[in-house]
Amino acid sequence: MNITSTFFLFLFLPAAFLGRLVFRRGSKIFLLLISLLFYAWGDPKHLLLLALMIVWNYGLAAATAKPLGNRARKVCLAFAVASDLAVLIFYKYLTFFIGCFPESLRLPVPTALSLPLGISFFVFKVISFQMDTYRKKELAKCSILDFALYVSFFPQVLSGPIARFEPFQKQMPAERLDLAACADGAERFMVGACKKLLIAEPVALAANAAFSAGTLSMPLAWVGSLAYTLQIYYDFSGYSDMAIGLGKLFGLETDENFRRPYGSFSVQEFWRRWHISLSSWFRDYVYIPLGGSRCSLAKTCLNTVVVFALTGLWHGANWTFVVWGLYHAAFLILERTALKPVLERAPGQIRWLYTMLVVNIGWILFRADSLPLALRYIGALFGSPAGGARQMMQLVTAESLAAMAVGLALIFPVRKAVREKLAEKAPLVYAVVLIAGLGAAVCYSAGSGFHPFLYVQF
Amino acid sequence: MRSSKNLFCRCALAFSLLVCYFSVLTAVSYWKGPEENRLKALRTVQYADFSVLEGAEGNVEIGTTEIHFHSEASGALSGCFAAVPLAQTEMISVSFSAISPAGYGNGILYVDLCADGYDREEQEYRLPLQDGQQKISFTIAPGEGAPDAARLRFFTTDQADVQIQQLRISVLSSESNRNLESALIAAAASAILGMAFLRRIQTSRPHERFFDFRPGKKKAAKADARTVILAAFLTVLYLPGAVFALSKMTGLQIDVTLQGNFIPAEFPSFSAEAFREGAFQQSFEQWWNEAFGLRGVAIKTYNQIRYSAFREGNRVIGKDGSVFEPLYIQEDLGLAEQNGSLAENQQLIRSYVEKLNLVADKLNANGKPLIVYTTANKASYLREEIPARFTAAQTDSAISLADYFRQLREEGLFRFAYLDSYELLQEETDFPIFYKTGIHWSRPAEQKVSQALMERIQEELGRPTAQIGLGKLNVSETPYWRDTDVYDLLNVWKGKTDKAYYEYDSEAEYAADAEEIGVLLVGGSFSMGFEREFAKLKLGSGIYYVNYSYGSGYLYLREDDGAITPLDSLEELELQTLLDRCDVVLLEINEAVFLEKARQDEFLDRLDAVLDVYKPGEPAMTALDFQRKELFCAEATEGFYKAEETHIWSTRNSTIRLRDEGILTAGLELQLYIPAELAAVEGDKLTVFVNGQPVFEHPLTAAGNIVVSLPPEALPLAEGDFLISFQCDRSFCPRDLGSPDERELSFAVLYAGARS
Repeated sequence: MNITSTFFLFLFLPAAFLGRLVFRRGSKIFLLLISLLFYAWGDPKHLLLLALMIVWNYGLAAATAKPLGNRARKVCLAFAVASDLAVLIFYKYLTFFIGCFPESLRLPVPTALSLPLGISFFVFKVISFQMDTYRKKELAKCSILDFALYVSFFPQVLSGPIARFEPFQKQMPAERLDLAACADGAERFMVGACKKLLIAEPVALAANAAFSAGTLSMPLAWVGSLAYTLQIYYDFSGYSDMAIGLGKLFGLETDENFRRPYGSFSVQEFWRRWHISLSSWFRDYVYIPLGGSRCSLAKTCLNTVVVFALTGLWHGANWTFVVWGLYHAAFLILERTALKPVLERAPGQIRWLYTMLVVNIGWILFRADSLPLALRYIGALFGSPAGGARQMMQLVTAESLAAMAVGLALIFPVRKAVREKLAEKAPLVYAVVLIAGLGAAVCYSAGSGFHPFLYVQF
Repeated sequence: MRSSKNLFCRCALAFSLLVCYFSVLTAVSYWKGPEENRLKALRTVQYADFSVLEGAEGNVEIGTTEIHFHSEASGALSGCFAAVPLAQTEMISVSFSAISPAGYGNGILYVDLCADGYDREEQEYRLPLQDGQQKISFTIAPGEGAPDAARLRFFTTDQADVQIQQLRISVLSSESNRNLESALIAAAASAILGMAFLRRIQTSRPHERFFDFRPGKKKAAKADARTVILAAFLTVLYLPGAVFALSKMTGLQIDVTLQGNFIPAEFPSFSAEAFREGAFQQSFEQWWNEAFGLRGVAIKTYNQIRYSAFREGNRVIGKDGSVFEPLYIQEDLGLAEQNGSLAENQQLIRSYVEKLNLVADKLNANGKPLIVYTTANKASYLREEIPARFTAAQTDSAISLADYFRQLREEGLFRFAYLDSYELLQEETDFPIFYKTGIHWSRPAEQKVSQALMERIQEELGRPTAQIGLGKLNVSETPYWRDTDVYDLLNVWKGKTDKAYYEYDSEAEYAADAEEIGVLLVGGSFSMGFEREFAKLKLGSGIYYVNYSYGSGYLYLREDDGAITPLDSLEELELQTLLDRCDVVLLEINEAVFLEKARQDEFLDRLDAVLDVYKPGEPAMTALDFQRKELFCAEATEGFYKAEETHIWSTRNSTIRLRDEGILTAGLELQLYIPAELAAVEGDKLTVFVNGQPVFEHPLTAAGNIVVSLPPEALPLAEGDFLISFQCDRSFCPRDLGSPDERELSFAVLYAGARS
């Protein structure tokens, strides 16, 4: 279920919120049921898988928390993590991995295998639960209801953020709703909806046009890559804002997932601000256990490469994602070594431009369907500008350009300053601006699929 | 005590939210009208207001939630009417669902306004009925010279079984929008009242309040802003559902009506299987996406934002607000070559001209001229208004296919009569050829072309026929027929429209010795104008219009009495009978579909095949060959059901008339299928006759495919035609075997024609 669809906005969410008000005493059960319905609505075939993952991991976590020897607990943990990863690999990567072998050595692949919705997110959630339980036994004493709600909580189950269990459990929904939190949640949801519907979607038209153009001129290549850079940020951070807002609306706080990543002055800083729940997951459960940065430079570099190759692979079963991860790893290693003195001395604007250029080109690897296409696109960035103006006029609409301009303006700190100032000095004006934004976003959600015919069809 | 106070708080909260809802509703309802005037419902028409039409008694049932028309035979009137006031009426908005069971979806349901001396086509809506549910909404404007009151009629004269449900009829008048300010003040005041009340509940009962809201040290304004944000958020969330429920419960139409035709999504029936497959969810979301309250407001607002800010919409919006369909622009700018090289496309056009020549020769041999006319293209007239994204794509060498077609005429390659409407109209300055708002030419342009076509028909036939006389050019602020068709599809609150719309007074002019003619008209939507003109002015014995846009799903025959026969394929068209009735064939070439037609023009292929065997009054076909479907002529068969993909089912007695010299030299071959269901009684048989003589017998006990091959010497001759008759002793009904098919089937023919 798309959380910007009219079905979610005008039917599912109002019903869920009304239910939350009515079932105050059984709010957890209600939220679990509504979350399972949400999942079943989008992917009924894999609801059972989600339920099995919950029961299986809850049982294994309880076993890990038993007074066993360290070795036995480690075995339990390894078994739990391996089983979770096996599910992820089976559904998401099996075809990809088998495709890596020469044709003569390939095993038969199950053909009717569809990817369960949100599998990358809920598998990482259950793995983090296993790891945390191993470190903190008392976590395993939670009720299965709490755990099931944590895994399946509807705002997060499809696209994150990958919340951790402990903070989630600590603020399990109270009977009373906090109006201030509800208002904050509503505000956050509105901001997210505007980002997604008013910026990401119009901007996506320009990105799609550029990435599907037969011949690509230099200006269109730059506009397209910039458009995709903005699209992916506003789309994903918009969704995260909506998920965080929905969490607040239902009485559950969620950690931030994005902190103005395009305001970063280095790739390292970018990764501290981009998809924080995923990068912190890899930091806590892969990078640090591998030794992190508290080891030799070579080992640190190797750890970085491993973590970012996995980060890339997490995004999708395609070499483009792996190369995208390794590309970022390369710049992170460079920033630790050769680039470090240069970046330390460079003015802020240069560092920002460098970061944006690296990130922007990285997104081309991420977006392209294959590596040759990505390389062709990157080549076009530095190719001939001939025919560029004509191509731009043909393929990039005023609406996309306007959305890009707004999107670009809002990545700078000015947005936060204006927002805070407006909210402080003229809160009602701020409220009206937000409401107008929500109204426009809702209209975009309702209107974008409307295509009437001129004649009655016979 | 505490729980009752909590309940009070919740009720108070709900009330305050409701007040906010209505404040928004008030603002929206005042905002939605046009800038100077807005529409106000004078009255609504309910089911109880309807009465049965005179002569339709027994064929109509008027209930409290539906009207049911049922007539078993074509020609019987089935209808009802309601009296509506027309004085001060701007328009009448009508929407309903029409539900026809399978097998009844072929007739026409008319909705019109009628009074003494007032029964015009402009106030008539024709709905071609289809099997299943159709959701319709449209408006009827009374037009100039309307009486003070009229009957709003719903009727059909076809065989029909149709239920009219969810009927909403509003008689709308135009009203000045001068109360906008007071409405906004009222809306703002009620919003403030709602917020104040909400805040009052929150602060006056700190111990019992439902929401635990603690402003703390923050300023009161901030708390108010939060309240406003939350209230607005909840309003946006709940309002569409509330309006939907209210509308369903009361039958009131709260939303604005959207213009255009849609295929409505139906409410899905639930089943565990459908849910498991995700089909139910998908269908439900589609249905809800079309059903939620204030959808029209949201869509129009979305369209308005894009229209005003970016000149974007669901159609192409030109620089001065002219609305285009993209295909016409692409053709005019020569961008169609994107689908193939320019040289390839020009070769296609050249081949198409050759095909037209061949067909024209065959028609001329039968004394029926072929007149081809190209329609004018809006993009050609308003080229400077075309958005830059299209002109930027134009190459220097680009040439439109219409221009290339004209070049071929200059080369003298045409053996058919030709009328170029672009040339005809380009000198006109009295009226615009195209409005900003229409995709079709303006009404006077249509009248001029119709006039020229009638002159051309007379010229080609070489004998006097009725002509169109054009009188005074009238100007009106009210658009005629489809003058705003493509603009209406934009569904914006306010956009750029034309200030004046034109129409000539027209009348039929008959010379003393004028002959009545029949016209077979083949074309797209532009041709509808000529068809209406011909029928309205009664310019001949009949006009038969075949809409040829079958690629877009529009294929039907309309006769000049308005009867529409939807066609699944061109083979269903009884072309030999139509040729019998017509003196001339008119073929429209529309620039938007020029290339598509040049690639494959199924109508022309079929006409070509039919002309090979055509003899007036004696329908026949070369062969019944499912590999070459264009040869098939339904009127050359009797006793058969509708042809299927690979065969045609017969009743017990049937005939096929073949006309092919190849049979004389090579002999006759029949490929038949005897179903196992027939095989039962010893002695029953299928007998084949040729020109009345039995030539073959087959016992029905042997089922399966059989091939009958008859050498020329075994064929009885009779004036060149072969009348093949079948007589079968048995038949069966699939319904008896559990199928819904109720036909009485005997055997099937897979092929009938010359021996290979």
